[in-house]
Amino acid sequence: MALLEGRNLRKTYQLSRRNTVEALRGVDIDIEAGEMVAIMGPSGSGKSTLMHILGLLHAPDRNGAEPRLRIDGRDMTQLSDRERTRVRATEMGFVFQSYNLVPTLTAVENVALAGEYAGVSARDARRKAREALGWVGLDRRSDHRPSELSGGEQQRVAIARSLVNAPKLLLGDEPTGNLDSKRSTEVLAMLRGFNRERGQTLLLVTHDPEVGAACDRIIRMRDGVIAGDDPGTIGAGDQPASGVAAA
Amino acid sequence: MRALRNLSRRKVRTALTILGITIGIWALVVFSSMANKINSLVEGGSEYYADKVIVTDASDASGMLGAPLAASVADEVSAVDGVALAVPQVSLVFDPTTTGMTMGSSESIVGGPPVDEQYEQFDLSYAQGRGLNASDEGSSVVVLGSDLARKLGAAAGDRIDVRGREFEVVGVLAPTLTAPDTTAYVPLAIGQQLYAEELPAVVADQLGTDVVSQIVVYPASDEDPVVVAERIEASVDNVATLTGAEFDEQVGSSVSILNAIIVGVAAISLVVGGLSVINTMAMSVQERTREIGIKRAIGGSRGRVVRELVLEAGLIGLIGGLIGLALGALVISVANEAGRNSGTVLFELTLGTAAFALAFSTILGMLAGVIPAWSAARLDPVQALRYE
Repeated sequence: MALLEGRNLRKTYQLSRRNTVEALRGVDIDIEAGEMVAIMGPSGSGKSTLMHILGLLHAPDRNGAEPRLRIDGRDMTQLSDRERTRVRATEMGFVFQSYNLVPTLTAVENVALAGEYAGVSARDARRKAREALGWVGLDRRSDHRPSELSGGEQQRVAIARSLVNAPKLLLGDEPTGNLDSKRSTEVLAMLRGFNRERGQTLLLVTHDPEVGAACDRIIRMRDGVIAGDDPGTIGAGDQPASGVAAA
Repeated sequence: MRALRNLSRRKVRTALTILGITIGIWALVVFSSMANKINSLVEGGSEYYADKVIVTDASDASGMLGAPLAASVADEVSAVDGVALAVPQVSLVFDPTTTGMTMGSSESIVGGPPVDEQYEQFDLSYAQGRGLNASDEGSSVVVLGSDLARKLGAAAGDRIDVRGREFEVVGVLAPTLTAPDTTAYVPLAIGQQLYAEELPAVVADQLGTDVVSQIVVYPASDEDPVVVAERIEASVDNVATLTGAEFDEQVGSSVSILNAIIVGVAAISLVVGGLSVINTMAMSVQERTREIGIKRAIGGSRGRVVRELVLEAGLIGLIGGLIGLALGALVISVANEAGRNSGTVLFELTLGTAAFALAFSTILGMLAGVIPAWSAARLDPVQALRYE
């Protein structure tokens, strides 16, 4: 059984009364536990929308063929907002292009916040947050606020935040999109490392060929449908990606 | 604690929001205090005149300072059915050289015998010294109201000059916020002397010096003052009466326009203060839509995310309220201090007003925060994240 199973996923945005955009026109997707998958495609191909639906940030359209979305066999389409929020807190991690850290909180507080939302006590959340910052090599910067950190450091804080609750699925929306190539390589190596060492399942939406190259599998999207589903250039992943060797 | 820390890390924004709230609450405190002062003046007078009948010469319609009465009229009034006690009294302006209108009660001298507490319901307490008693009769002693004592810089034991005579201050009243604050109480005889000096010679010749300006009547406890007043007018020649109900009517109507203006101003300040709280709070929460999106995306429930913001909003409201209250209190005490010498004490800040101002800014701050916070939390997280 796939970790994540999606069928008939559609999403139409109503931009104005007459103007609608069909961002997803019926996508079927399976992600296995332990996979590191890239979703690639041109702008407007629906890849971000797909990630948002898989991450329970959006609900798929319910008109037309009944959508199906299962995580670990559990149906997600019937959940209330509260229940979906709960799943996001406990079973998913998110890494965004623009980091999306809370500006008034320090690194460790940002990471701990995710733990608290997942129901961990404030004290334990803080302890786990420090631990997670250690995984991304930021234990010494944990009391800095986002404005005092570089872009690469901020993204590493976001990665620590996404991992602190040991999610089943880590979703990345252009995680290297705002970083220069050196930082980008570092972050990618880090993500790859978590996949290799802990079997962390990763789903990354990206434009960046380097990211695609580091993944086990590339799903290519075009005009709201899946246009291709290939193994990555490094095959089943027995060779490290270029950045990993350096990490 | 966390909410406080979040505020301290958003210093400029928080300071501006607090400033907006401070201004609103400041206006609210100042204008409410002005309305309070006017109310307490009217209420104090009303309380003083309640359950009493003031008897004056019939030619004096106002019942205040007017044509003299022979002191012997007090005996006639005492004899009327239902009168428990009739006390002759003189009242005259404290300093005849001052003219013109003053806000609130004017400074006056009241001369009369001490009245037993069983009759007088209006409670006076003494900040210093003692009240007048029967043995003071004939001597030049005075009890000063609190504002008057402060203005004269006099304390119990001091000697002061009143209309060219030397008086010993034997007591100073605690503040009452109404007429007694600006009154100097003297024994009857010395009061009568001062009063007689002021009368035109022709009147003095006719009535002699044993004259008073009014007689204060305390009806028996089971009597209706209005009925007693009617009986006095019927059985004593040439007198007019003023009861508490009439006082309320007369003074009430003359103050009611002013009061309406003040209440109007207070209402406007409530609206202005309220809108300024709502506006600044709504803006500052709306600016955080993206933050709400982040928190929602990583698994913060709507309720929890809104709660965090509303707590901060309440705290901002409380801080703004406290500063506004402090500034308002400062302005009020400075203005009152400056106005005291001219008898123009304009403001009265009560505990109720202070508590209301704080509760108002805190609760309104939270309410003003909850609406934009809730609408941001209702957005789907992706939309909230796109907010700039």
